[in-house]
Amino acid sequence: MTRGTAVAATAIRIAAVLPGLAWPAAPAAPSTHEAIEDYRARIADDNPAELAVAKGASLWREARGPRGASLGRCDLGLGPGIVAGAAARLPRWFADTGAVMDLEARIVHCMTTLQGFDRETLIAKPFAGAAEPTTDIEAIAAFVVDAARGATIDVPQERPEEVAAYRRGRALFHYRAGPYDFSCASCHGSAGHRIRLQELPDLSRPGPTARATYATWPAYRVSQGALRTLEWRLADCFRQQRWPRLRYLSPVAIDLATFLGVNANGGTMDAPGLKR
Amino acid sequence: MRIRATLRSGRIEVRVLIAHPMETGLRKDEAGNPIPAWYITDVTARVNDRIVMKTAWGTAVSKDPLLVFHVLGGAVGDRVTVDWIDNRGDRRTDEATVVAPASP
Amino acid sequence: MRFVEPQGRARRCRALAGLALSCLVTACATRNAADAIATELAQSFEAQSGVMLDRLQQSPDQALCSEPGAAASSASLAQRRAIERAARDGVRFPSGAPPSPQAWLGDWRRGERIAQSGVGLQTSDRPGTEAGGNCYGCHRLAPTEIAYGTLGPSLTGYGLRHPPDEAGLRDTWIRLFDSHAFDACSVMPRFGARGILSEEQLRDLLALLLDPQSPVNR
Repeated sequence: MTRGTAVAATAIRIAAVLPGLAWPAAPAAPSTHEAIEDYRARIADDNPAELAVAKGASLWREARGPRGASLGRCDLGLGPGIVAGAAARLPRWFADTGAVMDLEARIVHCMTTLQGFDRETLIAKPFAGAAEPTTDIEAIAAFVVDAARGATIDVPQERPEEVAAYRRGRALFHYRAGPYDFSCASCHGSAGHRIRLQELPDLSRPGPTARATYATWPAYRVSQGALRTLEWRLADCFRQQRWPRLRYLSPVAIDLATFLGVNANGGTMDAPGLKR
Repeated sequence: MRIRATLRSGRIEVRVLIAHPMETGLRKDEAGNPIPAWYITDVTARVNDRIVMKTAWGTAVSKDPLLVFHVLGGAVGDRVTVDWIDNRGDRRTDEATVVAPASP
Repeated sequence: MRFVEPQGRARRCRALAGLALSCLVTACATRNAADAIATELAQSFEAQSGVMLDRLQQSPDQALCSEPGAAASSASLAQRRAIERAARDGVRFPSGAPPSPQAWLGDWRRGERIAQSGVGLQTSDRPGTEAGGNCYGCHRLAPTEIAYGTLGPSLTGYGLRHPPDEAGLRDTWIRLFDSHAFDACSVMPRFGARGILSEEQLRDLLALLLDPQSPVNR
């Protein structure tokens, strides 16, 4: 358990044993929500994700890997080397692989084809563990998405492959399975609910919450003390849904990212974000 | 480190974002092994090579800490230098130049 | 999918044929989407910590309720009623005694701990970890606990609204054991039917809800 959750858990237990104090009997949602938003606003200027962005920027420029090349020629969908705004138009279909790819799949593709890194090694450990530094993938993802801040989300649905990915993503979103019968929609299929004190955005359809949510990933997650990507978030959802482990860059991950991204079209990128 | 130094109302506001695991030594990893303590012990700030602040840190400071402090006086163009040492003897130094606030 | 017999005038005939065609296309699209994701699911997940891929195989309840809107649509009503009947028939009540507070209610203190615990059955849990109910994830229970979810209705004062008579005990037990007995597409996990919680744990939760001494009812 991280320190953040330990402190929060202790605070809640203290509240639970002191009912005589003026804890409001009314729902805690408004004041808790405001308090969290206030906290976020005060540290928004100094999001620790900036550290990951800085690391990602130098990883992008540096000649690395068996081929001793930088990522300067990496094509994220807008042409080789164009980083600005690229994340706002992912996932999308790519001619060189003949597949729909999300941000992380494309970064791994460039690291393997341009720099010669081993793909299996990269995807075996894409996320930093406890007390480990930000991984290269996480840092580069932070850098690339930072370069799309302010861009309008415009995930394409032009190719039949992109449309098919969206449709499969929608079916997956509603797919109930496991001992808890949970799908993504179990928590994210309607508006105005929360799990414990965490508000749950409705991600099942286009709308303001779908846009605001997609716009802020990757994000620095305070409870993790780490920069986390969208695929990390999807994998952690499935863990909590009591499903088996989601494979990194798998078809399910990419189809769900496409579904979430297309539902967010018209929004404004604001990542890396800052989350609890 | 990422340092921002802004002159506001006759003071330099310095905001330093530091990348550091700040491990207390009390946590365990997923396998149950203790994670060794690794934290910043001393942070020193200078303006134009003159020490303005010395701090002693310990395990109560969070991971990737944000340090904000204000220095009386100062001018645009002053050089702010921050350095830290941790319990392993690693050190880092970084600097930034004081700027005027961005126009609204 | 029903074949629509064209009848009446040519215009109506064409409209109905068009409806039949679009139903055919939609049904095909749904089936194709289901097939496509079945293959993907097998490729996209792996077993870990005792959590196996067979969790991705859907039961009929799950398959029916995966269609968006199935929970409320009239088209699925007959199937949902059948699921609810089967769920009710499958409920295993506390062994031995007929319903009475003495026989059925466990310990509300243990029930509160079960309601607070969110572990169990995850790839991050060691196999065999006792599962909690994570009730506070979705419900309000003891009024002093402010960290509660709102996916489900508030259960504060439940025992004041449902006295622990025979009907109250049975209905509450059924809801805990298999929520599909009341609602085939319920979002609430089926704590007894899926073996998530033991009979003893369910009796403790029953006490949390129905014991007059439970904080839920004070």
